[in-house]
Amino acid sequence: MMDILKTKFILLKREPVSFIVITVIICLFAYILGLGQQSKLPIAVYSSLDEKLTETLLLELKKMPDVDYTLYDEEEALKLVEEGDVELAVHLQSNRFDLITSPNFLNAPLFQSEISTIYREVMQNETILNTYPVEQQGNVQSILEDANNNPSFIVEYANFSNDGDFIYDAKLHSLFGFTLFMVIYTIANGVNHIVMERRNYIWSRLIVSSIGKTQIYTANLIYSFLLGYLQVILVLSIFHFGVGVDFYGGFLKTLIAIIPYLLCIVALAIFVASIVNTPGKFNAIIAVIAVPFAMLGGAYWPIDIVTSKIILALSYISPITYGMEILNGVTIYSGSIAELAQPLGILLFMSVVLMGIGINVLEKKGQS
Amino acid sequence: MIEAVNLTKSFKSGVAVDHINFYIEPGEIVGMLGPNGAGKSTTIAMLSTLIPPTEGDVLLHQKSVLKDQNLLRKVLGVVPQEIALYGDLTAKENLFFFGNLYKIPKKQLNERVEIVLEQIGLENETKKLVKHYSGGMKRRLNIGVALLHEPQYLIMDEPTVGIDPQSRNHILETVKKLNEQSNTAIIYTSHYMEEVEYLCNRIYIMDQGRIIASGSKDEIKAILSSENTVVVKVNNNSNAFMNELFNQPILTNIKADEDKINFTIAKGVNFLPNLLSLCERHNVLLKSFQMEEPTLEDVFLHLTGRALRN
Repeated sequence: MMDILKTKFILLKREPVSFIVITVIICLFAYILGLGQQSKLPIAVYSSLDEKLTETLLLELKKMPDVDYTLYDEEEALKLVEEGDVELAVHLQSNRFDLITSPNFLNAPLFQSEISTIYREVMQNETILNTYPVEQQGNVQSILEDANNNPSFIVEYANFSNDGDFIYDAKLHSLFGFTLFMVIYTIANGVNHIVMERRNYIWSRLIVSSIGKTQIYTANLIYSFLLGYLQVILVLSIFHFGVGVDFYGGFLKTLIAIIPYLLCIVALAIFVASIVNTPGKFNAIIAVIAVPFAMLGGAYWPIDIVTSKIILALSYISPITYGMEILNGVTIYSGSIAELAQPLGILLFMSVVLMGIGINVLEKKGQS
Repeated sequence: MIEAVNLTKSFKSGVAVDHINFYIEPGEIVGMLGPNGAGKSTTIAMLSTLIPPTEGDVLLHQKSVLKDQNLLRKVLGVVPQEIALYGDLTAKENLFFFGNLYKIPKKQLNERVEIVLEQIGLENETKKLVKHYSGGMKRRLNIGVALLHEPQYLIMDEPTVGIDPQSRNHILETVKKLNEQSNTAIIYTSHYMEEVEYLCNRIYIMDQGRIIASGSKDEIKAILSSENTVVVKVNNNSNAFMNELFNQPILTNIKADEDKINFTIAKGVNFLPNLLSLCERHNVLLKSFQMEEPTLEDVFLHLTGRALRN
């Protein structure tokens, strides 16, 4: 068995083009569609306050996640809203602030509340500071900062991760989506060896040697799995360690949780190999099923935003649906492997069924 | 001895091999002749334990190998008709890979690889990737892979298809030497008569899934011992001339290929005067008239009414 595996990797080393091309495509698409997109909401700010207070307020406002506050002069900020380049502008004044929004911007109340809180805190601090003589303001400032950093009460906000709220991280979504989609082709390339070897009688040569059929199948399946796994590890590592994509502390869990998905794809490819006779047909069928699976499984866009009941029902047949659920689960939703038992179980069930049918059909064909 | 007893294989499309009986003894070369679709490859697939028979048995030294296929696999080498090699590996890498599958100890395998490379005449071409080999070199390596574990029996399925005459001769000589020096028994299938005539001690002729004749070369040819083969060459051949020739009751197995006409005729019959007058009547010029001993091709034509390579 080890000899077969070793030989497969030598063959990969001699012909690595398709493996490299697919890896580059995943990285490229994940980068363009995920990281290349503007994921923060741009908001224009203009101020009637003095420079120091404006700077303090802006610093606090910039602490809000997923929002990008930029300072403009009044005319420029209003023009941006008018032309639809930004949906919200904030006018900072001494006792109040005004929101200038585009007609379709529905989140104004949310921003009103968030900015009010920040505004109140900054103004409160400013008022406290101003009640002291200038020479004492430095000390007071540090006391206030200390109180802020070590509050008497710690208030934490929490919600249930499985309460149905949909959290979307564009970077992770496109990374996971394209990895799960493209790795189908890589694994299929590995399984295609079986189709080619059966066609050019290398398979027969293996069968009539002293090695058992179980070992031949196992070596081929392990090779295809490792090929896919290697690619996944490579791509995710590049994005985690190289590009700095946040896996919400679930990077290692991602590498473990993806295993059932890869097994399922190996089984799917074996099933396809059992119903075709030529490598060309095998590649054609893989191409034909991989794209709809990616669409239905939410590799291109989040399945949570789909409203069509038919598409949602069809999504259950795509392994990518469960793959995305698992990967989002262990990262964005910080779920444990046990919490994801259902999609993991479904993938393993699909693996067993497809592999069972595939190998049986292959064997029957081999005897006819 | 390997024996096939009532070996039968049926598919949905029909019966590919129909109750054939067959044997090969240690040290002999047995030829299996037949046109495409005769059932040779299916028979070989069953003999080499690749597919199970629908009926019948394969015996090695009187023991059935259907339940314990390894019994036969250890002593059998198979050279498939196709080039069953990894094109992106070198000859040596291919040999080591397949040798390891036969669990040959490392030291012994090193020796065997060198010996086999010499046997097949590729000892100076070991570093080239197989995909860059010529057709003949690939065929030779295809044979070499089957020799690594020193099989007592070797099945060669049309090992010279699609190669140049020089490589073909090399392969035929290798097969002959292998049989003489290692006493390897060889089942050699082909539809090239001359190869089978040159190599084989005994011959099985297959057609439509059945063995229609078997025996030594002389025994097979004796099927036509009462007849001679005549080869006639003419100019200005015409349909009328051919029609009249076909109507001659003393001629059989008439086959025309442009200006060359073959037929068989009972020994002792002098057809030349008749042929001359026939040529004169139809303005056909007789260029040559040659009487030959029957070949295996003639026997096959006689038995099936069809040429081997049709």
